[in-house]
Amino acid sequence: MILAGCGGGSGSDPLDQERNQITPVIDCDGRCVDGASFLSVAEVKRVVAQAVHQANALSVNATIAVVDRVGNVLAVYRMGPFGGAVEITSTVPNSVRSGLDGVVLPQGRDGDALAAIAKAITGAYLSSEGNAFSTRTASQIIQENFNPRETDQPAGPLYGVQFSQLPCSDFAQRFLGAGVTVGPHRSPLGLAADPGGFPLYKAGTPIGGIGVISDGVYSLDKNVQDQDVDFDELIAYAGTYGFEAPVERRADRLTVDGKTLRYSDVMFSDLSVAPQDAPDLDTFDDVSLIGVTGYADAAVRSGTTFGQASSGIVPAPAEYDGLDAFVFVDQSGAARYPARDATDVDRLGGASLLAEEVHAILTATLGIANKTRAQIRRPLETFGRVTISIVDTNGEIIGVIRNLDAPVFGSDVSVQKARTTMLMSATDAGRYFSGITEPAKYLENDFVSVRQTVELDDYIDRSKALLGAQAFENGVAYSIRSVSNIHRPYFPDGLSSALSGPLNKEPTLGQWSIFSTGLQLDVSFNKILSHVLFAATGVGEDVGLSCNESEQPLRLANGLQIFASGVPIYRGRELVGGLGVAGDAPEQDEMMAFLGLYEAGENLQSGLSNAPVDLRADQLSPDGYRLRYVQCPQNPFVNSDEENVCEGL
Amino acid sequence: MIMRHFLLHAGIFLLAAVLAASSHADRLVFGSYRAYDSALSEANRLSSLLGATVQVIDSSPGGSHAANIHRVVSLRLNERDYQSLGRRADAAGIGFWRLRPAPTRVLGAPANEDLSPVPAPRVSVEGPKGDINADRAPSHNRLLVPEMNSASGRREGNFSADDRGFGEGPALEIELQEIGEGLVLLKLRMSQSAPYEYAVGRAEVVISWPRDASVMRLKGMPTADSLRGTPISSITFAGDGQNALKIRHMPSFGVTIVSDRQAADSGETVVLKFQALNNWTLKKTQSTSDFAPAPAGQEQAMSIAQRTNLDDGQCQTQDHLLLPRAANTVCKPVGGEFLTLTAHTAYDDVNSTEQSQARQVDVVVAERPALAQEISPAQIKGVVPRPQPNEYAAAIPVPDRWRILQGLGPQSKWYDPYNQNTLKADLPLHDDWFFNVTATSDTFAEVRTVPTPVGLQSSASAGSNDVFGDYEQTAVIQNFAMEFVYYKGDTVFKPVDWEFRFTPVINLNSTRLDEILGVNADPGAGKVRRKSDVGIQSAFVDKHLWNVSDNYDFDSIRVGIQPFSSDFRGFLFQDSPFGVRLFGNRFNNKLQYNLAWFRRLDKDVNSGLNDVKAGLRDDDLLIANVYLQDMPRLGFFSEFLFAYNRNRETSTTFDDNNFITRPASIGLEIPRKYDAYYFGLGGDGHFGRLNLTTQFFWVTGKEKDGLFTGTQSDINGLFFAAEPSIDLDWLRLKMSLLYASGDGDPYDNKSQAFDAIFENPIFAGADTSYWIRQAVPLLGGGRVTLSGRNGLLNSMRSSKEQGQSNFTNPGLILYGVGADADILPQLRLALNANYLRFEDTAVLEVARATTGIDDAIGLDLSASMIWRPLMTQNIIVRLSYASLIADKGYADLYGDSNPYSFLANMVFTW
Repeated sequence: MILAGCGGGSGSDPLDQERNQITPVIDCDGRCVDGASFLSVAEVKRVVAQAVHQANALSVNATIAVVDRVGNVLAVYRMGPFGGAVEITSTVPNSVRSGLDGVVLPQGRDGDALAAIAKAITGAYLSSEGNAFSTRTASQIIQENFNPRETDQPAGPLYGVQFSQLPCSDFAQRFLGAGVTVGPHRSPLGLAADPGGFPLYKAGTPIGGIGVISDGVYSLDKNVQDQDVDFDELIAYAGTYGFEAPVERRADRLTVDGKTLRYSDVMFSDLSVAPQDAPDLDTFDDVSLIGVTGYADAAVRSGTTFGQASSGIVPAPAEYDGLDAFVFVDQSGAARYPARDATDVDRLGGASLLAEEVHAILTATLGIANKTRAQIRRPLETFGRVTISIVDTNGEIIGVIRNLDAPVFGSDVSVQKARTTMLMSATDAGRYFSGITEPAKYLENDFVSVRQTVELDDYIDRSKALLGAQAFENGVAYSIRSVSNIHRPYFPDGLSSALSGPLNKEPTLGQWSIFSTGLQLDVSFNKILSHVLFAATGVGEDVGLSCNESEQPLRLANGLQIFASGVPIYRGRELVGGLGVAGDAPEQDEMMAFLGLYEAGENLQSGLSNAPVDLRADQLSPDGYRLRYVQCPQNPFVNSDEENVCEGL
Repeated sequence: MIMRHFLLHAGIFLLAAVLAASSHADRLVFGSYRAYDSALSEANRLSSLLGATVQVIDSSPGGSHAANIHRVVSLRLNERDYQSLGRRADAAGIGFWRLRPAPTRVLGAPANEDLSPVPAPRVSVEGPKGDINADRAPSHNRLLVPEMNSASGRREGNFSADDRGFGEGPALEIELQEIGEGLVLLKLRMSQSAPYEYAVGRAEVVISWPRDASVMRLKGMPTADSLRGTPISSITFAGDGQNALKIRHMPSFGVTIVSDRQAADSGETVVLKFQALNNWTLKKTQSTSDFAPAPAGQEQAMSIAQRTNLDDGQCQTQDHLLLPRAANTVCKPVGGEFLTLTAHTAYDDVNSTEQSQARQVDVVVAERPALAQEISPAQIKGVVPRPQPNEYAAAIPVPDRWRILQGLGPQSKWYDPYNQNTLKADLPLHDDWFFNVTATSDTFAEVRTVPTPVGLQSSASAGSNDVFGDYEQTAVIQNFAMEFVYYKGDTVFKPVDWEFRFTPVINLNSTRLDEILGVNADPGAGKVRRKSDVGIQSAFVDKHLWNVSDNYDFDSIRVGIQPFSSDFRGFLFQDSPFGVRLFGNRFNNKLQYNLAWFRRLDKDVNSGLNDVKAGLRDDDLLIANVYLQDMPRLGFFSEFLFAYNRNRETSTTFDDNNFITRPASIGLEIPRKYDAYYFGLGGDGHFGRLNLTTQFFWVTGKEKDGLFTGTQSDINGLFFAAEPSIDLDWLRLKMSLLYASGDGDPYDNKSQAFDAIFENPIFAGADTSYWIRQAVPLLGGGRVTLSGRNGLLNSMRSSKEQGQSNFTNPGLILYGVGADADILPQLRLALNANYLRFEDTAVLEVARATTGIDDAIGLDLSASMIWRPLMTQNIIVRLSYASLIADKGYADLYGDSNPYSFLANMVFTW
């Protein structure tokens, strides 16, 4: 028996338990959420108190954020008189000064709070009743190889997800100055890969997340083979005590391609003090509740109840009955993205998507999702839980639907994907990026001087060098997977001896890291950075509802996404929109999109379908490396040994 | 008493002893009779006297009893009966001799129950012709020459072949006496009833036997020194083929043995006895020294000279004096050579009639038992005829015994492995050092279907939208192996004293897939992989430490890269690691043991050969095993084994195709360490007609990092396999049963699956079976193979060659039947049908993130044909086809299709 370090205690101390399941096991499979599924003020304080208690034991000052499941910041506490500096860096000391890598948010500002919020949101957003992911999990699945250090293997399945939930997103909700509002909310730094962000659970269902930063470094874990002792993680993990994720649902019970995901390098038995011994939060000295510009006022609030109108996610209308369908609503309770006619009828005429077609695609795709074997959910052999979004060629969101327990991050991501695949398949895609004349401006850490400017056109030029002069003009249909092939640190993906994909930053030039991905970040960089400065300092203006500076800001309003899955929607040979799915593993999501669109097209008989085979990007073989279009998973459906279900479609 | 007996029978004794050919179905011969009735009556008498069946062999056509001789024998005796009967006969004072089945039988001679294929020695005694008329019933073990019995008066001088002097000579007795196991003495002696009145003009004793030229090696002749004090001055070989003995005493004609009148009454006896040793060694073992030289003018001369052979297979001795009918009978079937001893005695002093002499010279001409080779008539064809005695070269000095043959026949070419060849260690390189080169070409061509994934990052063709791509694969593998052995030792019986062995193997391999990213992590590598590799499969020094018994029980130590198999069928470890091995045997080889430390070499993943460049793995194997013969019953070997496998391979390693091998790309994919202790019990042999091979292993220990837990985990796996079989003439029917435990919960801290260290199982059809031969990748559940190439266990390693043991796997249950049919001596057909199941699919379900993977893998059907045109291992051609009739579990993993493999394999060995 291992006794808790300083906690002492008896043999029946819960800390002795091998894997630290404190709360009773409730075998949830996506429908446990109920009226009690929210964090109360007392619970928020309890979580924070446990974290503070641990930080005190470690003799560090931490900044601790607690959010609810849809990203409302419920409290931000800071230990010490002021916030420490936060360096966003993939290496310590920093060696990649590019993109956000190397940016240091100065001390005395709220950079620490932004990092803590991003980490808390990551824990909350990536998790569901079927899976509990931490920022450590995120770190593992967004690197250049999966697993990290297994060289020559493809990048992590969620490579690029760190740049979702962007503060400039038109989809993500914003703090309205007081109180909690409908979600999903934006995250100041996107999703975090720095250990120290965990989901919080109650009765088997996620109710929020905790994020902690104490070390001043907002980074990632490049070596998943070892066991770190990360103070952020220790403190955050202590905070989850009593609200910890069910052991059976944690990432380390889930495999992707047979490889186990990471959840935490620490356990309760690693803590130096027992969290349950933490005194009341109000008894701590030198711990202050702070407000954060754009995210929270200095108050502790209770979270929203997931699946109820206050959370922004409610059951879908009757037309989706039987599909476990939920939709997003605004603060007034009105549906945000009901299926509707496309807005591009002026350009596309009769080809433009109609509301019933959007509805049919959403329904069919959700139908596929509801029989798809989830890859990252337990119990095993349960259905995929995802968000499905459709945009028209203007980037207008014309329909979003989701399952109840779909992880929240997929909401924004599915829209990103729908837009990305739509845009990259458009014949004016090249012109779109070339038309953004404002380069990405990397600033020195005085946030005034420009270190480097990056012309987005450069990415298009490089792409044309690889794909031909007509690239992004010739109507080739790019699924997100096709885009991912050329937006990776290596082309072909993962091959360490190769140069980068043309849309990506080049690792050998020291430009690439997960904080500097390439076109994905650069198209939104200026907006992201200006928001971070605004939020950290409270000076200036918040960003608008688009992440780019194009003349058609809506087409990529919430940023580019570069991990599968999403497919462009065609009527005949004409591109009419984009379909994005997110929430499970890329292959699962991709199959839902691909088969859902196919099935809807078969039902509708209005010419809608996937891109004609000859237009798909897998017809291209640049440098002898054929691009991929879709990759449907092995053993795709629950309770079926059917394989190769996408063959020939 | 014996001395007295010999005294009474003064004369010449020639003794011939022969080790007979085989050990079963002996017969005892009690005597020969010309008259059938006499023989029958004797047989009946002996039957009742000895309480055993004694019968008369009648070689007459149609049972007419018209043959010249009828033998009284007891047939078909096993060793115990023989001993028992022999004792009873001895007790009753009944003489007999023992005959064993003649090799002539298998050489194509008549195989009836007659004694005509009489085993060596064939005896005839030839004397002056013309007086062969005796028709007396002989005593049961004694052929008395009647003419000599009635002889009187004296004879002078030497008798020529034309002489008829025996009518008045002394009785010459011929006695055949078995003096030991397979040893027959032929004694000739003159009866005392005719003292000195006669002189034997000439008598020849012809001893012949089926003989292989290769045993004509004589060594250890008595020297002049050792003969000093005897009446014999020298004994030399005579004849063209060195196949006669010449015993010389006086420089006159022939060999003269001088009689000693004074000593005669005192019963003086000269005994020269030569006993059989290996390879025709003759050795003087005893001689009396008080045999004084004969006074001048009184000489007894004996010469033994070669008698030329009979070309036509007929004896020329059929009408000679001393053994008239028997000689005829004996000689009849013989087609080969004879060793001819000519005894020639002469007495100068014809007046010394009152002087009796006792002279006895025992010469044992020993022959190494002829090998009872199973030789089919087909094989005889084309065989060089065995050399005739007159073809043997005259005595030439040769440097060593290995070169005797060189004087006899043509020199073989360096490339001819079938005749004496220095490169094949038939001749020493120098001193006792031999050199042996073996060259082998091993060619594999394989067409197979194996689940093959579509490349994730890039694919071979457009429209590949799913996981499973086209699955046809072809592989061509060529191995050239050279084995060089340099050793010191005897070639035959003794373990070598020193051995240096070096075995480089050149490998060329080509693999073609229908999809990319299978042959290399680089999609640009395409669908085809062509590689070459040189591996060192052995490089060791073997020192024979010492012998610990007269039977060459020994201890040896072997250091270097060396092949080793831990058990009968290679279930646990069969590889060529680097290490130090102490091994040897005890109790007349009834116990064999190994005590070894090995450190495994890394391997090339494509060739499977030792990769010396990559160096040693951080993987140690301590192994101790002991094999016990006839345990628990005669004909069954048992093995007890303990092995400790210590693995500390914590650095990340990639194979030649840039795929990660350590840690395996499954589960946490973190560096693993483990300490596995194997306890094994195996058996191999037969119980009566039932052949049985069994193997049991229990593995225990700890792994520091469980595959899915990352925490310390207790290893506890079981393995059992059994293969009962029965041989029905040319057909072997067998059953195969195998159980390897699986892990039922990857997330507990128990690793309950069995995994071997490095298996190479010869079981259930071995590499003709699909599941054993093919590496089936676990797609979508980690970049590991479910079961490795040439492996049975579903051990989910990165590769069998380079991966670490994995005690978190689904296990295996196999039951099957098979048949090996030797359709022709050159052609074997093997059929196997094995049904395979997972023991527990929990691990697969976690790896694949699914549930409900069925246990049933499927029915593995395979057929293979092995053709050895020369009936040797020099040319082996093998074709095999295997198909897995997929069951639910396989379909759950790979979809519903039946994979197959077709294999062609050619091995040429020089």
